[in-house]
Amino acid sequence: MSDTLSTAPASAPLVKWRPTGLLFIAAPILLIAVFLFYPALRSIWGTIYVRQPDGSYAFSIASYLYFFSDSYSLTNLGRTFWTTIVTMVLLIAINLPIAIYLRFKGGRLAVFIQVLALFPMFVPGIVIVYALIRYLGPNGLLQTLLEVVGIGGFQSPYLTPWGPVIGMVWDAMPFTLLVLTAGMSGIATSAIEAAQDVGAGRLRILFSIILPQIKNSLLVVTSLNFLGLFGQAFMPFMLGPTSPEMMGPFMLRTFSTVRDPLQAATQATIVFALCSVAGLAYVRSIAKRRAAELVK
Amino acid sequence: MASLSLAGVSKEFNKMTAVSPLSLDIADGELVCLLGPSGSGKSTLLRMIGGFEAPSSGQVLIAGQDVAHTRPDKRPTAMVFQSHALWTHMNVFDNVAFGLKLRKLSKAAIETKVMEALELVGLGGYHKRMPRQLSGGQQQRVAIARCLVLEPKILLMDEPFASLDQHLRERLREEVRQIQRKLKITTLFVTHAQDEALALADRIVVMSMGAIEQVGTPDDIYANPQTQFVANFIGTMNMIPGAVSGGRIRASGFDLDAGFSDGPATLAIRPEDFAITETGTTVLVKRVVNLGPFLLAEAEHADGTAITVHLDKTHPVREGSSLTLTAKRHAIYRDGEKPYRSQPTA
Ligand SMILES: Nc1ncnc2c1ncn2[C@@H]1O[C@H](COP(=O)(O)OP(=O)(O)OP(=O)(O)O)[C@@H](O)[C@H]1O
Ligand SMILES: [Mg+2]
Repeated sequence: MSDTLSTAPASAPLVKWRPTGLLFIAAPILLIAVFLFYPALRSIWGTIYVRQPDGSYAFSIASYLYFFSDSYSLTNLGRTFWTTIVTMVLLIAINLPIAIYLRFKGGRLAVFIQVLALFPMFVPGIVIVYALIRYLGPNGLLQTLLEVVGIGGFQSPYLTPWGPVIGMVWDAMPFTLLVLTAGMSGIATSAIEAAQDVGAGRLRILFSIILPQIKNSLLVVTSLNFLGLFGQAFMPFMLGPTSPEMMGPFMLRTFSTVRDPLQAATQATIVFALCSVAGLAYVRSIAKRRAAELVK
Repeated sequence: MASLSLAGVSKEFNKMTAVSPLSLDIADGELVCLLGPSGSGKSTLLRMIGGFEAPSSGQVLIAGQDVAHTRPDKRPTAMVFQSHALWTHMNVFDNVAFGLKLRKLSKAAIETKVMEALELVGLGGYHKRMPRQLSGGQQQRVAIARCLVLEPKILLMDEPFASLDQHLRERLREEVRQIQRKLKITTLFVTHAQDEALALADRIVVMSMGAIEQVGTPDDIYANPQTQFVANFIGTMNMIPGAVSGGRIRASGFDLDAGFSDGPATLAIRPEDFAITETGTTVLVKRVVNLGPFLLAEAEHADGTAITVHLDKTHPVREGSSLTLTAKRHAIYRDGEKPYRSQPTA
């Protein structure tokens, strides 16, 4: 008996697993299943098990074949990728320097910058959208101001592909900054000073020490931003052009204006599949970090 | 290797003095410990030498050259930090090789030097490990190797073993001592543990509140503490308030010679400097602790003064019994005056 005890793995849990624990999470899981998974699966199912002209149901991937042969659908998908990637890159390009500044400089200015960057979190999207339209739109405040100082020929980004980019950058700023600052706070000051000590300059420290150390945060923020941006409907609908357009407004239009629920569900399933890839990258990065912690 | 001189170096943070102007000379190849309580300015002083803080005033002279406002990497110094200084995304080899790669050495030269440095700190064969796969002690060895591989003239260590357990600390400080002797590298070692300073240093610099209290060899510091602070801080010292008059000090029943002007003063006696005698001060033993080679008795004088005494084991003593003591050696302190030290009797 004592032998079996002493050879028990060291990692054996100290607290016995109890079925009561499962009861606690049963209700939320049930809710998720009933209100999320079931309808989602039903609508995915509905895209491949389709009502035929004669009234019967049969397996068919016709709606997918249509999507991937329809140049308009494909252009919209391409526009969605373009908008998402440009927005993601801008988000990192804007927030990484801010996060680095906040990590290494203190004082009032740092607090002010942080408040400014987190500000969009407290403003509803609809307010932002209208503010942007009044400011950036044709004959908006910016154009007027530019003309006052003698700069003409201002091209408003409103209703161009850059409209949604600007709106979504604004929208996702706070989240991006929060994740990056959290990542930066994990870098020890002595690790940076040690690099200075052996002769690394600022750029070398950025590329050889800081970026590798926040690799995980970059991956997390990029994959979650992808998920948030790729399916966005509101910003592109309000600020973007109608043709080509992002998948979000495209799905809305297919569903409510064109009244083709099958094609809308097909588009949604394709967006879902693409987002799953980003979701997988996120889950993997978390699993990797867990594993790294376990090695310790 | 090089000598190090500080001339009137000070540091203020937002008008708060962390280090008052101080001067210090360290010889080539010497191992000096900066010893002092938390907040006494040890790290700040070390960081000014390493180039991580700019002094508010004064000069930092390395081999005669003022480097007070030179960048860390342009100084012939290397710093071992207290903790978390390894680059966790690089393996041991890359951590040690990083500085060499920046110097554009050939691949072969880098490899030889890194392996040598790892061998020196007893980590031969660990070069492929990631920092998280190493114990705290091994991580600090890597940090030391990372410094040594660049062949600095002065090695700076800021409480490098503070987060390790006692046993490991003792072993690592022995190794540091050996490496330091072998390379004859001028070394400054910050610690707030007096045993570490006493065991390691050629000379100890005792600091308190941003100022140097005393500089001396471990023996000297222990035997002749120059200030009340040092007397109290190094080893155990009974500090008994009393008064001097007519060349004698009277304190809690002790009546001892004092080459000191009249007035209040503090009598200082080490626990091992008491003798058990027929006449003297009588104290009541409150507690006896067996410290292996000797007994430690915590006693109390009738006036409430606590007195700690070391007794050899041949002397039977019980809690509740009384002891009659006299001092074999004593010192007298008064703020702002040179202390008086008795001639040891026999
Ligand atoms: N960057 C800083 N800004 C403001 N004050 C500082 C800074 N660094 C140190 N100080 C202050 O200077 C004083 C000396 O600090 P220092 O870190 O040198 O002490 P220390 O002797 O190393 O203490 P410890 O044993 O706790 O490490 C402290 O009062 C500390 O609060
Ligand atoms: Mg310190």
